[in-house]
Amino acid sequence: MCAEPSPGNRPVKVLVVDDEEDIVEYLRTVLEDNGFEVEGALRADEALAKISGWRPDLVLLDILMPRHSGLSLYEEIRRDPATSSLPILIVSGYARPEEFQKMESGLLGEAGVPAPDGYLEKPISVPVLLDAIRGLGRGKPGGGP
Amino acid sequence: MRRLQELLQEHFFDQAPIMTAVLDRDYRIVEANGRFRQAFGEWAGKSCFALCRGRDAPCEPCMARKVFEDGRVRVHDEGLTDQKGGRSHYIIRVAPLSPSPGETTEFIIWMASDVKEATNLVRENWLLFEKAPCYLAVLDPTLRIVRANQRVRETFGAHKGQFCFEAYRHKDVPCEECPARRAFETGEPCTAEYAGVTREGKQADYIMTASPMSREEGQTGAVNYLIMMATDVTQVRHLEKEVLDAERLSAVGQTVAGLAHGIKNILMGMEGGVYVMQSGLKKGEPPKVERGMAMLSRNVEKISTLAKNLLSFSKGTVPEVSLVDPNGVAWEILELYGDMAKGAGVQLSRDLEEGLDQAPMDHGGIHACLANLVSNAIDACQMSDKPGRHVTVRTREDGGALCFEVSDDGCGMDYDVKSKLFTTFFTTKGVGGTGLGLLMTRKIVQEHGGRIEVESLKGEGTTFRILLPRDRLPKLPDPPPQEGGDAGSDREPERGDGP
Repeated sequence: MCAEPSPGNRPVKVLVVDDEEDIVEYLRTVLEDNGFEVEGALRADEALAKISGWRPDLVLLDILMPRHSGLSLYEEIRRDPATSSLPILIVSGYARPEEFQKMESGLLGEAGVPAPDGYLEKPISVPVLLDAIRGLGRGKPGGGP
Repeated sequence: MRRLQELLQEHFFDQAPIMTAVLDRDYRIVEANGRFRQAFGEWAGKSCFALCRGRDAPCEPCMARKVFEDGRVRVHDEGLTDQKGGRSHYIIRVAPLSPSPGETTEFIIWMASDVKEATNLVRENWLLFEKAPCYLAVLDPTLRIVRANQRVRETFGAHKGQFCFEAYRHKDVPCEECPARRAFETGEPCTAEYAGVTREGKQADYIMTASPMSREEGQTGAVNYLIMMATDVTQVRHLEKEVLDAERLSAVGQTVAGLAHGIKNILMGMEGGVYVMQSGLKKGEPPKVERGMAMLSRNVEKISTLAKNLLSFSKGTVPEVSLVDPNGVAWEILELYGDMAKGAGVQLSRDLEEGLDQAPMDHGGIHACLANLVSNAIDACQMSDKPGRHVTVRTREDGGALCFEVSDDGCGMDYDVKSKLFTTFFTTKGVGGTGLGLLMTRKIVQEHGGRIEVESLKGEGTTFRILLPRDRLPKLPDPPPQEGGDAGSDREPERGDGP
């Protein structure tokens, strides 16, 4: 995936899903400054609504949102044929990428859900974030499996 | 009367359950009863040593000779082999048959009762008592040891005549709620658990049952003696402690992992604040600068709260134990969260079992646990779209454990969230938004020797259950508090329908 702007001269649309309003605001500013179009969602139901309505090109998903697991939301997106191929970067401060991969093979593997397109560990630096997104266009992004 | 005496002599001699023979001064058997004949065969004209021992000459020493010499009764025990080769153990009484005192003894009577069974029983009982792999001691009503088995002697150095509290616990006065005293008083077996002191000065944990052994004047009389039977549970307690320690260590590890997650989120919020501020400055957008400033200050506030809570989390390691009324704490929580629940449109109700016994607990700690759970439950209700939501606080006795339960019919949790409940810092809730609440709750519950259980169905609701086995609750400080010991213990449930 290319970043800012897309080949069709339309900015790439990124949905940031995180229960922390400040983190949504931060990622929104970084991405908007770099030519992306950004929407934020603080809750899983809000995220699902924006995915089907706003149709983002990429989702940055916090895996450990309270009350609703980011993994459950991830599974829901992947199981829906309409969104199953939507690029998703998993973001969390809880585990390191290699731990994510273990979690993924344990939880998602058993459920037969394909792996995410990449992992980002909080706190995310701006260059790492942009590299990861740009990397999606060249295959797997940085930090990915 | 004369006839009766003759009959008695005739029949008693033959039917008494002992072997009887009469010997003359040459040790010849001049009379013997049926039992004697049964055991040793025809006796007429035979000497006792030939018939009973198969000897050619009198035995050495010979009891019969001594009785013939001094006319005094002799009692002894010995083993004899009957004519069929069967060997038994006998108590033998040899008495003179003298017409009157002072006259020469012409005959003696030899009486032997078979005590083989009794001897075996005594030996088996001795072995059982002496070699049993537990502590056994017989006490008299003054709590002095009458008899102690090998294990008691070896472990505690106990000896006959010593007070049990002296022997087992190196104390000068009887133990609190002494099971032996209660057993003496009530005549019923009584059990208690103690930490004793071995002869080497090490701690030995044991569970002891005092069981009455005999009574004076039948069933209504006082207990004469009792037997103290104790099982050593030192190893079991040691293993339990190891498990608890391991759980605590694991909790520490999980706490650190959760803490790292919380800090990373805050750090990212701070970085975000700086970035947004810089972006605003670069673009000359004052509102953006202000937003960045606000983000920064919010996250500085968060990390400051986190630090404060961590401090109290680490300080709260020594519970202040006093006797606490479980329902009293529940009432305090219902009162505390009444307004908040009402404001959130949540009905807060109670189901408190009446007459619950007080328990040694850290009042502040249990209060904090329940406060956390109720606060979480109200929040879960707010996150649910269902109307008419409820939170219920319950208390009850549950198979020897004190149980506190907080249920809600709010949004519930899926398996994944449930499995990470105690490993993650929930940032939207808990203490100052740092998510320390559930970790603290579990820590306090573990410090009370208890556990916390969660049942939750996504979309249906959640129940948190704190189970505190009464036998694992912390001990009251020594000396125990004089009165109740806490503000919550004397609360009377005389409010209206609750908040």
